[in-house]
Amino acid sequence: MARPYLSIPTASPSPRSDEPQQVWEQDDDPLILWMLSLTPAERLAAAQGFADSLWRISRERET
Amino acid sequence: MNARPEFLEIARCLVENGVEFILVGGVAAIVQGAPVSTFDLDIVIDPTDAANGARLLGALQSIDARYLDLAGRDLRPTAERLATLKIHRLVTKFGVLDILTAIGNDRRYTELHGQTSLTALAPGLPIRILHLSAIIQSKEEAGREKDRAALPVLRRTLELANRPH
Repeated sequence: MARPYLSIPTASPSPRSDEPQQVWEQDDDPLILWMLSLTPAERLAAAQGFADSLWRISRERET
Repeated sequence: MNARPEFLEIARCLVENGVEFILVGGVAAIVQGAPVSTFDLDIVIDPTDAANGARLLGALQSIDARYLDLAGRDLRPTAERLATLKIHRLVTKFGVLDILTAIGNDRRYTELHGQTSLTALAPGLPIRILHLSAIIQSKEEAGREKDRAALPVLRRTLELANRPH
């Protein structure tokens, strides 16, 4: 499958020493890898679906 | 919540009106693979570009944009406001649109432009998107707690995206 963004600059900013020790649990890598397997349009659609779900819930609570 | 967020429709309106902008924030990160959530669209514009400001104003009028005002006043964007205010939090018929003139350490449109790529979010809809590395940098510089909370997943996304396949 075509992988967009292979040309993204590889420079990753170094963590600041005064930042809280928040780390990404690598057990959750499959979620990122799934997102990366999608096209940009598909990723946006996934985000839209999530927003739609929450919007529907909020509307139901108002009625 | 106000109107249902419709990210693509806001972007489409801007593009169809010839507005030059850079997509930043949560949607920009999502489009590059970050599994984060967001309910608004964030863009950066050059407020000194009057012609672009006029096109933006037309786009905003077409989607019924008004300022998010806690007092409930109906305040609308104007050419003067677009040229002078640094942040515009707008409610539109397609959800919330945040228009910024700078992010991070006062990084503005001209500086950010070199860290963007054009990406089609739909057929015939190219959007200029800030690179994930620059999004990470801006969040580090902003230093807000919610920005810092997002950094681990953004960094990991960038790392995995850049791994050799």
